[in-house]
Amino acid sequence: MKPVLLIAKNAFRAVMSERALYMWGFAVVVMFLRSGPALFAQNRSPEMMRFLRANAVSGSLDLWSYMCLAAAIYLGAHSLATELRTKTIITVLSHPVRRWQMMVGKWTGVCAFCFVTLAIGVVLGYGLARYLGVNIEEGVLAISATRTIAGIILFAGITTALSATGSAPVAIAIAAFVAVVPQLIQPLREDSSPTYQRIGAALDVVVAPGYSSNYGGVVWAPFPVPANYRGPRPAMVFERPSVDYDRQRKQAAETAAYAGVYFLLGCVGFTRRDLKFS
Amino acid sequence: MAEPVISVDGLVKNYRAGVRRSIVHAVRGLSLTVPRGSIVAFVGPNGAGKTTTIHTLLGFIKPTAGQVRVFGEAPGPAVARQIGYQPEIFYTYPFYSAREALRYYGQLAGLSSAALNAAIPGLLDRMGLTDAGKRPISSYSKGMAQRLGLAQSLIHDPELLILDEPTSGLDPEGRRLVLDIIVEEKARGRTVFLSSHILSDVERTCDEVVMVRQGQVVLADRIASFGAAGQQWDIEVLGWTPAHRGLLRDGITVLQETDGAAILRCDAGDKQALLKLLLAVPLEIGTVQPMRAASLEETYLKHAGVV
Repeated sequence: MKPVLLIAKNAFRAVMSERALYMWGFAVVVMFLRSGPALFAQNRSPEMMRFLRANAVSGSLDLWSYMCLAAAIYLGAHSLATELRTKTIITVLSHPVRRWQMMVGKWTGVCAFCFVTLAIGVVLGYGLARYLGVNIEEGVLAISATRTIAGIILFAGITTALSATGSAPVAIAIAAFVAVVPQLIQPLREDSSPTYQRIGAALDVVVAPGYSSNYGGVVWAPFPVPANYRGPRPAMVFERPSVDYDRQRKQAAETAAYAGVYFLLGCVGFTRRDLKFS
Repeated sequence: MAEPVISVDGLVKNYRAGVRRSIVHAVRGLSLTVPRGSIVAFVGPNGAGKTTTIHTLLGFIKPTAGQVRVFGEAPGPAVARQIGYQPEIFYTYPFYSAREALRYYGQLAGLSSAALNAAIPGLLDRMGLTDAGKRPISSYSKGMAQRLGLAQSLIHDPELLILDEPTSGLDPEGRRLVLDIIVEEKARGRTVFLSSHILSDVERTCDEVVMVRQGQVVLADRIASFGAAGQQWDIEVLGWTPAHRGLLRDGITVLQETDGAAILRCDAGDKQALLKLLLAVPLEIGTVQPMRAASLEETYLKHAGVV
């Protein structure tokens, strides 16, 4: 385990040396802008202010979670690809380090950075909620963060495994594909064409469950509807989002399990292939 | 004979490359052995298969055919603990200082913190990097980085050093330092497998040389046999005509014969008698010199197809 932890520490430090503090600073600015309506709104009704404040906190946390996932994809895709490109992997693997240990170390380091980033977002979310005088539903936040953690594990795993091919863009493209495909599975399975149904069924087995955010329910307030409003009333705006905790936990576990399988396949491929350097 | 530390037998490595995936024969049946406690040079032109062979020894590349053994085992992490490797260019993390880099690689090699605390200052001092030990590596010159590369290969006190162009990019002072360290390591009983293009370095430090070309060993010999005075002498004779050939005994050969001059080659034991005979004819003697074997550079250029 020692080489894995050393490489994870090295990967974390490599990310920090690439001006990660600026990235966090940028994320804080984005969070601030997302909360702008609640922070600067004046002369609004109490119902509207309640809605804006709830929306500011839940929306900021939601945005932050997506930034964590994007970071997992980007950093994972560059983890081993950069090592191969800069040939730093040569010196590491000339020591008694197995290739899978290097991969697991990189994955762990990238995940650790994203977890720290998520934790910073949660702390900032609490700070924002306190400033705006709203209460966070801790159960919903916990399950939402769990799903984000599972998503980080999945996307960092896929991209780290694929970055062993040496191509970060390919790793990012396939991770994006894995992120999008779950949205297509249900329509394919319900299609009248047996071929599409079979494709849908196959994708359902091969592709990890999609990421779904529950941050909308962390702080919630109904949208204040004017008395004369006659338009559509979408549930996501007018009804408090319900969270099926068991289903969410199951999906998070499934996501992590898929991450493990994808990563294992990547490890096998990386261990078996020649490392050629030009 | 000492047990070989490295044993390569019939190594073949083929790659597929390019859009057409055509086969590239990087190494074609290469065999060599590196005895324990020796410094063996591995020389050859660019593209001869040196780096491929070294990467096979390190387990980065799997042979297409043939057998590679390091300390009697297949290459890989199990034997890596006994190997110190310095790549041609030392690639490391620019955010580390030299101390941090040595600590990282030392920990990867399984050294404890206490052992590293004891080893790092001495190693930095040996490489002349003490003053720069806390600076980020990104600020190092190429020569400093090369010396740090050698330091990381020595951090875990390995039995075998595999050095790929260790003096490349070094100034004369740094080059001398590195060569002295290589000789010191040999004196400590370590084995060194040294890839280099600088033949004067090879002649100065190595015991044996293995020359490769197009993925095959073209020559393997002791360094002492290059450029050494042999057991034969060359005598230049002036006033020579072909009719004088009848004077020569067996064992004396005419190397060159032009109108009025010849170069004769004889064994050292026949030299005095031949000189007396030639003077008695009388013929004028030009130069008399021992025959020298071709130097390492001459041999290298010949095998590289340059001369």
